[in-house]
Amino acid sequence: MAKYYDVDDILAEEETLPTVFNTSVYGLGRALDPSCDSKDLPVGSNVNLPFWLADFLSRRKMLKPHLPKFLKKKLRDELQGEAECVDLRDRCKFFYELGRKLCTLQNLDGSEDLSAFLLNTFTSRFTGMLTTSHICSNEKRQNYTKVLSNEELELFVRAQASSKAFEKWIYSKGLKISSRIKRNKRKREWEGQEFRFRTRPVVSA
Amino acid sequence: MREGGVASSLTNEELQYCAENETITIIPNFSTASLHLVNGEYGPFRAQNEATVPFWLASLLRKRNLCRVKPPEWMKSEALIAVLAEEKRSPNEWQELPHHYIEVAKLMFTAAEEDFAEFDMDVHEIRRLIDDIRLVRFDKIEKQFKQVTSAMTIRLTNFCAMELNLMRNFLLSSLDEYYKFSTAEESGDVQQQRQTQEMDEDESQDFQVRQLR
Repeated sequence: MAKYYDVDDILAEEETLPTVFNTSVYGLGRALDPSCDSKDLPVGSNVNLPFWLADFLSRRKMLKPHLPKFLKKKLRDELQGEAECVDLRDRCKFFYELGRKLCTLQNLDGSEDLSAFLLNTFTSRFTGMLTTSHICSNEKRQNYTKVLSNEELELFVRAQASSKAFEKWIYSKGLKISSRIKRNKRKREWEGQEFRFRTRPVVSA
Repeated sequence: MREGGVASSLTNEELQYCAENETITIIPNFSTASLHLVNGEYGPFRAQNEATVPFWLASLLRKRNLCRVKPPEWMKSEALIAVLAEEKRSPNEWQELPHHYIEVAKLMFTAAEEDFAEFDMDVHEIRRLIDDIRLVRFDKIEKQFKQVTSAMTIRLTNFCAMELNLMRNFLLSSLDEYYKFSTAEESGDVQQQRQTQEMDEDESQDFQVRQLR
């Protein structure tokens, strides 16, 4: 689905989630877990790893991933109660993107109802977004954008841009339409002198 | 903002340009043979007799004070009041209006505002009515969108060009988002199936091993 060079996609995979190692890791203790004392990482140690690494290692059954903090039960309950007011931006900027990725992750606890939960959250926040983006005071808008996750923000900005463009058009007065292509106004220079089109010299008969 | 995710749409000004091709009735105060232009033949014009021309020609003539523009039939206040009442009555249906009604109304108000009075029409009332209709219709569109809960089809019968243009960006990208959810769900299901399959295989291998023993 996502493109290889999609920056949002890369950033979403950069978010960390807690994992527990099934195997010990030799020589990478410091690199994976800065708080680790020894050189090697023992079996069963808890480490926060970015999604892309956790995904790779869990496929090789080297670790067991757990749900990140923002998808734990407490926040889920909050979101089910009052979805519109919860500050998703603070929890995780790529809430949905990462959530969808987690759905595809193997042997993750509590991933069964994850996709349904994400969809529910999005739907209930979507309706609020719809009205706020089109008819709302500026102050409320600014406060509102602070709680949106990245995906929602993009939708919001799009909606606002088109409604602003419409308002601009309907209150504009002129009938003329300015062209999108700007004419190239650079003057030609010819041997240091400005080149001008002149009227053709009159040839006397 | 990401590019390419959504089909490029026309700007409002370009829509207005398209709307200028709509035909409209004028009453010229000059007489001339028909005009042969690149995209068609208009006329012949006879003074005080009605003629049908595209709006761009009408506004050109109006600017030179060569004609009066007759507001179209649907712009009469009785018709508009009826449409408004009908719009308010049925919450899930949109009334049939000209495809470019917002644009044509705006063009009429800017190019030929004085001409309304000559045909016994109150320009302020009509302006207010059209604004009301636009708002009521838009409100209904938003209500319709609130029912969207998945990547599904939405009925857009009788939507007008400007309304579509206004909602296009938002609607398409939100449907995109919903589509991503549905694909994630599917792939999640596939994953789970694969897991159960693997477990089954493990068990059957165990069984075989036990049998061998």
